[in-house]
Amino acid sequence: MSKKFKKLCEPIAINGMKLRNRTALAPMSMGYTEGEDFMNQRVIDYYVRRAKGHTGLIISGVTPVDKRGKPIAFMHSLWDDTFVPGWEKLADAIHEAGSKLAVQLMFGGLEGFPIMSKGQQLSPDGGVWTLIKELFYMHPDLEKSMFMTRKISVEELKDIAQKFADAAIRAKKAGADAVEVQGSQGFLLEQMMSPHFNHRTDEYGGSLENRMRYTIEVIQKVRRAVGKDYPVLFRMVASEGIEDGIQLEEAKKMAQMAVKAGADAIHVTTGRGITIEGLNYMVPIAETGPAPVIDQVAEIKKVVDVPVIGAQAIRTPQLAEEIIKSGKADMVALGRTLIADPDWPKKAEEDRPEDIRQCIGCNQGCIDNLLTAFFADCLQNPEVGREAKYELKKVDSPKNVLVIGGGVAGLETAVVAARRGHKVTLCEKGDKFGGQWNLAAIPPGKSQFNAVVDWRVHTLGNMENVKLELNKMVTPDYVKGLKPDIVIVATGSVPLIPPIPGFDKDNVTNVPDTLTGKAKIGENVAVIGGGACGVETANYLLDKGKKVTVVEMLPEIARDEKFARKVFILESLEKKGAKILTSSPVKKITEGNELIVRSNGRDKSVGKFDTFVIAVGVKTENSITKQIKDMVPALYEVGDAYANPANGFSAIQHGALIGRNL
Amino acid sequence: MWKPERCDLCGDCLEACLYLGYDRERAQKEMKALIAGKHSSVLDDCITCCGCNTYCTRGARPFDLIIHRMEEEGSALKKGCATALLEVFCFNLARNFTRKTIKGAPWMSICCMEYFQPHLFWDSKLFEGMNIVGGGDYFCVNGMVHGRQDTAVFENMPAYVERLNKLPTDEIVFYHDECYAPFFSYAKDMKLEPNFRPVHLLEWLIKVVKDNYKEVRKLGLRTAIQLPCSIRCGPDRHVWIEELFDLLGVELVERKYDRRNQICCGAVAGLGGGASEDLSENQRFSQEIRDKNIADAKHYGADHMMFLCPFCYAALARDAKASGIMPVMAADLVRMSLYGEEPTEYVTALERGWIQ
Repeated sequence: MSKKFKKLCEPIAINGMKLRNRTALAPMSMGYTEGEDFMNQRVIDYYVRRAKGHTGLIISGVTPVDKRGKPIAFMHSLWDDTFVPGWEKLADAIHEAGSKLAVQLMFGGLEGFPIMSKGQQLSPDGGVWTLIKELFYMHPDLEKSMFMTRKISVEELKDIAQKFADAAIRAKKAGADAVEVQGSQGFLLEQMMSPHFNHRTDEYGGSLENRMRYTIEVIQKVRRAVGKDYPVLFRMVASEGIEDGIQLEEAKKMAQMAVKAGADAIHVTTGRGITIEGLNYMVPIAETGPAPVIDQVAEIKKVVDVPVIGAQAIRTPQLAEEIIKSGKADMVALGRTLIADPDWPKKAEEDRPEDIRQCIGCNQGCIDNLLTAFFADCLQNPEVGREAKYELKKVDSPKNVLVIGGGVAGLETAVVAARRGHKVTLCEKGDKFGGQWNLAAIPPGKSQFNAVVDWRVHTLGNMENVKLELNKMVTPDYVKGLKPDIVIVATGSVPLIPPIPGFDKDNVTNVPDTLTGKAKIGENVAVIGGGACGVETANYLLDKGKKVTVVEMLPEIARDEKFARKVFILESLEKKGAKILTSSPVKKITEGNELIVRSNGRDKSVGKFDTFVIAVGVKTENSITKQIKDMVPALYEVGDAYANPANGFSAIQHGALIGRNL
Repeated sequence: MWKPERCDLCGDCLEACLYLGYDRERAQKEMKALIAGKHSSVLDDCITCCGCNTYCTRGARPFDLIIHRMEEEGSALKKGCATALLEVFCFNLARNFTRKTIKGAPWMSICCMEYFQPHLFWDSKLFEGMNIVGGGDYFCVNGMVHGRQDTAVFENMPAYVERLNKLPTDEIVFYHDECYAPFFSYAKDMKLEPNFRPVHLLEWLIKVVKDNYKEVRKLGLRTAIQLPCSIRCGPDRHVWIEELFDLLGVELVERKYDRRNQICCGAVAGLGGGASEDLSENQRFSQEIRDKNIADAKHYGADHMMFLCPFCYAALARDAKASGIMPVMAADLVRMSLYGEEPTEYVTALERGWIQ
């Protein structure tokens, strides 16, 4: 048992439900169901993997209590008895792994997909779905016609409250150990509680008592349905981060009222409807820093006498221990943290925090994919959602594997191959592992990104079947001498410098040289290329006090950044005063350092600059393949070196796949 | 692209239209109005099925003229249609991804098809060994014709072809028929040369089945087909369908609304390509078409209905199932036969709320 994390690893009971430690899987909708939203093996595998990693309480992702309250496709549901057998299977499997299951019950309301239940979508005031509102700001008529919700009637409120109770009974029948009533994340109960969303004039709107009335009714109904000895958790917001929303002072009173109504534990996070900015508030990105709301959680804990669970960006057991020890919360809910490393609690119990693969808060694999591909993935953990398929199997006859290139693709391939028992030699030509990923960690606030490389290097460093070599440029002779059975070419990509007049001048540089400080950067800088790489570099230069102009050929910048990150970076550039030129393909840089672009059919100067940073993309670098492919029995290219250079997420996914195929 | 020099004002195109119900005289009159840039009832009543392009034996492409005129008149983007299209654009198309596999593996573009069945491409044995690209960068925007406009299609086409040209392969398989079609219409009109051969999903499926013929389990199904509007461009898909069905032991059920008489699946009609500004009227019209389609397949004794386009699937799946006809995508038949996999449930139109 842990010496370092005694408090974290201490058992706790919530209304008789005994938990092995103070960790809970935060409720997250992963999108792993299909078609009619029954529980399937893929979902079960995902939860059970977290249970096997010694998570104390598995709180399921949001589970709609009624079809009208289902916000997006692919959510496991519980609105009628046909869903129960699937949940029984899940509960049994989680119990077998030594954990407990709480089913989180939810109704979407304004955050439902109005388009999915036309004319039925219900919300406190009526109104337009907030995420859609932002995405469709350019089509106001569409909002009105298609995304309008209907004001929920008192009868419907009563009906939905009953549905919460019915679903709770089903959860209990299926063998779940507890239910959690979802009153955060911008769903119906939060909307009813929030002065921002709720402007009703009946008994459910106006004063705090009125706004809480519905939530209290729901909790009481659920309580009556499941009996007094069955744990009922309540998830709520500490604040909504907007002026007219729920503030901490009110949240404290709400927590007390919820406990009085029958809640056995209070689970605190933030909320505010799924706007793009709201997403950033509810699912903070790396730049926000760790545990941004924990002090607010602590304030709520002071006023209630039931266990309090604190959530949001708790990435290390050190921080979790400190939170529990200092009395800020009784338990920690780990969301993305447990997506990235399902063995986090186990590693804490075994005092091995350095072995934890930390979430980096990039939101690429989880949030972005959930909104675009409808299932969650993870940059750090390619196994998530593929637990059965990607389980590492030891090989019968280990082979000698040479990995050329220590960027993230090479590192991931090496980790997977080595864990499967192969003998791995990893050669990196530079003096540091990580390749281009290291650049991603340089811009302001992104140091958490280092965890990607650090964990992989740490893991490889501890394995006996791995040899790591830095400053090692692999030549055909070296390969001949080493006689590997398999070669992995993970040599990545190099900056693309298009053949444009003036791009060969001395004051023209590329992104890597800019971020590493290798290039001398003048005061007035033009960043040519406004993709993710260009805008992040611009953000970095602005922080260094430079005057920055971003010049982009397409009509918009940051096209390849998504949702939360996009909003963050665009706001950041605006705040810091970057000049943005779009639809402006660069024609040349003159002798006098003037930048000429094509705009509205004619060439024009956009001013003089001291330095030009080219950020127009990269091209595959795999020249070693040709030189050695006939010398070795098997050769695989991975990541950018394979083709179609992409991002770190894609490189790690590819490494994970290739590593499993060796 | 409309080819005025090929039109002899015969009226064949509009007379043959299955929705307008014009006689020859009316057809000629409306065609003249369209050419003269005047308002025509065609612009209100066309459901954008693209059929007239194939009814014209002289290759004048009347449908391209109709779409062009719709956009000029400002009837573009009827509400319901725009909504569904934009929903796809804003969500799934915001994701650009390349799933890389092992060198030498075929490349496939799936555009936004993840939207319908996110897990299929990641879980099925059929796609296991493929390099897959998808997302907005690989979206041809062809579907905007159902939003009654084509400027966006022309504007996007060079970038679409260029991005595909960058892939290190000389053949690209297109999962969606509609991604394949532009190489025989818009891209061709604009003289954009792909440096790869566009491979239709059916062609590739035939190859997979032939390569693994020992594994084939004859399915013994009686299957009707509902083909998408995009089949009006490029080679005749029926040749491939017949070959694939033969290989898999599937009997092709010929029905009334097939080939030249092929009618819309109901998705486009329901989405606002329909005659009315009133969405519920379009929905009613869509239901009428769907009912006709399903009753027809049932009448001719089909037990399955195969689709090449997930929009068609989404429109008809629920009603088909209710009539005891199992909806399947073309790839599903191969997955069932070779690997014993179940046809995956695509998210249906009902689920997405397009159709009430």
